[in-house]
Amino acid sequence: MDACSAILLAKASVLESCADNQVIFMTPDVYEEVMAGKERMFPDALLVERLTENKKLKIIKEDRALTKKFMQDFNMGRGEASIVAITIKEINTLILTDNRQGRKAATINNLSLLGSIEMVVHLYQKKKISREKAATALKILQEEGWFEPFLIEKAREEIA
Amino acid sequence: MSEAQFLGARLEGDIIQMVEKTAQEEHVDKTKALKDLIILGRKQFLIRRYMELYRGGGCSIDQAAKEVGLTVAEMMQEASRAGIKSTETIEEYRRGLKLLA
Repeated sequence: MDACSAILLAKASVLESCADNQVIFMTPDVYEEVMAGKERMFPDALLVERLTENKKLKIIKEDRALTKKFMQDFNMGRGEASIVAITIKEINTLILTDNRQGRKAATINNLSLLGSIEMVVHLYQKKKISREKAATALKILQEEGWFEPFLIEKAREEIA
Repeated sequence: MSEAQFLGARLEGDIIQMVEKTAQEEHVDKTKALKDLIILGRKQFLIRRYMELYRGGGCSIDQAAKEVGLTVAEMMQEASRAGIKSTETIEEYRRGLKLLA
């Protein structure tokens, strides 16, 4: 999971449900990017800190050389590049990113790619969150303005 | 902040007025007002520059945040304000859901 998706899912109040139902990895660089918000008391940073302390979010080290390659090839920050690098190295791992460059790098490298909206719908379909919680999460994601409205609408249809 | 140095620059009357007005409003001297405006202007300049780069697929949001000196969360808010959306398509969304099933 990259910093973008961690922040969005935390804002949508479903990050903990994700961590309860999937094994979620972050790299030290992604963790650092999210935790930069702690100084400003951003709730997403505080939540990620707690989930990491409780071992619900796992921090694993990336391949430095591969991370550097992605940083150069795609002009990505260390966090985003590291999460692409780790997904290439870890077999049977999905990459969760809502970042344009991260998604581009994942697609070019044939990685199994996810976005935050699918995660919300999946949690609802697996009965891990209620319809109300899924609807609220989608509303928050819509308000964050990160996604095209047709994607939010499609997700709403799935939880209707 | 590094040691102050002298920089000669020719400024138009309306820009000088801008500096004077800022100094008055903030109750600071003109040098301080000019410095504040330059720092703030530079930040806005970088935000605009890196938002355009991000929009065009030229850099990632964390790279943009690093270059501008904001957190990723703050840079995401800037992207939203600039109307920049995720490039995710319906097909990608469907594929993502299948992967999780």
